[in-house]
Amino acid sequence: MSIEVTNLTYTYMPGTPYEKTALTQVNLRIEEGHFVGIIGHTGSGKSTLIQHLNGLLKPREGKVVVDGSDIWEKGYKRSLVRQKVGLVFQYPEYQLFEETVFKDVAFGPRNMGLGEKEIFNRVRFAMNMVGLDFEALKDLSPFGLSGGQKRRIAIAGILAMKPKYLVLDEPTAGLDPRGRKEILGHLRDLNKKQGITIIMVSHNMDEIAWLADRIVVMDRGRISRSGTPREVFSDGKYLLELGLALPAMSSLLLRLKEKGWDVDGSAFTVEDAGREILKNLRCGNYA
Amino acid sequence: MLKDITIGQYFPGSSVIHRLDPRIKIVLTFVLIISLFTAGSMPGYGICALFVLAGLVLSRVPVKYVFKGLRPLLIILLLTIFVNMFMVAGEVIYRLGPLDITREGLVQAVRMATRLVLLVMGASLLTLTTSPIALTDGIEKLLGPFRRVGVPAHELAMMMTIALRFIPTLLDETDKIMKAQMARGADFESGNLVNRAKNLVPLLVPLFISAFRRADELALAMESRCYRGGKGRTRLKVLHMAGRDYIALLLGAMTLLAAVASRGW
Repeated sequence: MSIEVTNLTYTYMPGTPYEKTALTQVNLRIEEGHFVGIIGHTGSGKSTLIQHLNGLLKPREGKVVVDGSDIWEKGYKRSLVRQKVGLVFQYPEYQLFEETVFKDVAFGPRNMGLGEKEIFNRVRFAMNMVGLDFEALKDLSPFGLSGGQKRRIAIAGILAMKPKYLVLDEPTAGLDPRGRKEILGHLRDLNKKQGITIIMVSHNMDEIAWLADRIVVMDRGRISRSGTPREVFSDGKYLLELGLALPAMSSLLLRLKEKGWDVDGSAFTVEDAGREILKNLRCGNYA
Repeated sequence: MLKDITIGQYFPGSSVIHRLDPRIKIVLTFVLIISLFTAGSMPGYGICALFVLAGLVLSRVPVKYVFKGLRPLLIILLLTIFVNMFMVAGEVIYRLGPLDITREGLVQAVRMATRLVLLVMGASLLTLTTSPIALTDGIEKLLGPFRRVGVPAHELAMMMTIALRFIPTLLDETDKIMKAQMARGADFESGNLVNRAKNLVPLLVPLFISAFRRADELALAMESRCYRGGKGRTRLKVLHMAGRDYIALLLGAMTLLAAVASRGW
């Protein structure tokens, strides 16, 4: 099972002087169980692309196929795709509206028409998944909590619908290092332990390098590169040209290479980079 | 989706009408309104029409845009014409079933329609050729003399400017929150009226919260730049009357005089 995007083209405000093509002929296949990182500079079409994955935007051209069915085919229930593909927007804490944390997280499951008991179970499950204490928080007002907690409540609100695919637009933007680490840790667990496919947009290459097993690079409405982190990060110069950053280790190795060291530029984890550097030092060339 | 929406109907340009002092344009719009309602006969309306048409031609705004402003008026216009045509007593010239069309009624109908059309065209001309910011500037200046009697001219203008500034921002925000709630299965389109109103809660609550947050932040930003109202405040763009403004004013005065004079015809 997978999400397949074929020849997707999208234009904002067609037929007006403000017409702007945001996506051109995008082809993408997301396999179940993967953790996909989407990177690209501001305005490269990342947000437009992810809004197509759960049918919030309708393609001008092309198809979006989720688990084998075209979501814009006649007779397909779009509400189904919205629970199958959970979409967490940027700064999701700004959409909280209920009086209590429980009610807010329950909003999604309630819209699905589930019974009270099932809703209760799902809210508890979702809050556990993001490391929130169900008993302690469920009756509090979400507006009195900290930024990191609010963000996790908002993510729980999507998780409570038990999506197969979870799409997140910069889930760590504006959080402190600890908040970031917590959220990323939970995402990793969701992927590895719950088997939820995750698609994450991020500007932070270290986060992507740490979590993703597939990376998609977007540039001016097109997918310009895609592959494993090793493949994508090995061409560091290209990413820098696009105005993107590199993971700290790739950046270090790229600079050592420029100084004439014989290192493999495709390493991006601390362990691999360490090995590359030691290898050079042992040769004695630079001791 | 709603991002690049235009506020009002300002049509950018650099024609003589665009360059007129906004104060003059506002005054002239009022002059036109007064003229239209004092004009007593067809020649009077003719002069008003000439005034509006001259403005239109000089502004070089596509006619299409001016007529767009008339479209919402269509129903009122038709209603006015019909009511006047059938309800005014007088010499019957045509019988339509139980309804009589009178000569006086017909004249009255044409007169009212002309008034309305010219009125809206004149007002559209003002908003088409004046940017919202220039408009509020003009209003502030015009209200200036009334400050003595307690009219908060600067505050009114500032409120209008801020409101205009935040319309696109809030539209954008609405779009975003709507999509976010739709991703959680919210439905804004179906159901009866009561349900639909209920379904707006997940949209309105976050929208209000964010509007208040923005208002707070703006107030803080203004205060940290020492904003303290209009007293002693100078401006970057000072409005100056030019030759063309005096000419326009003169033309306006002549139109008004002609309209008043036409009552005696």
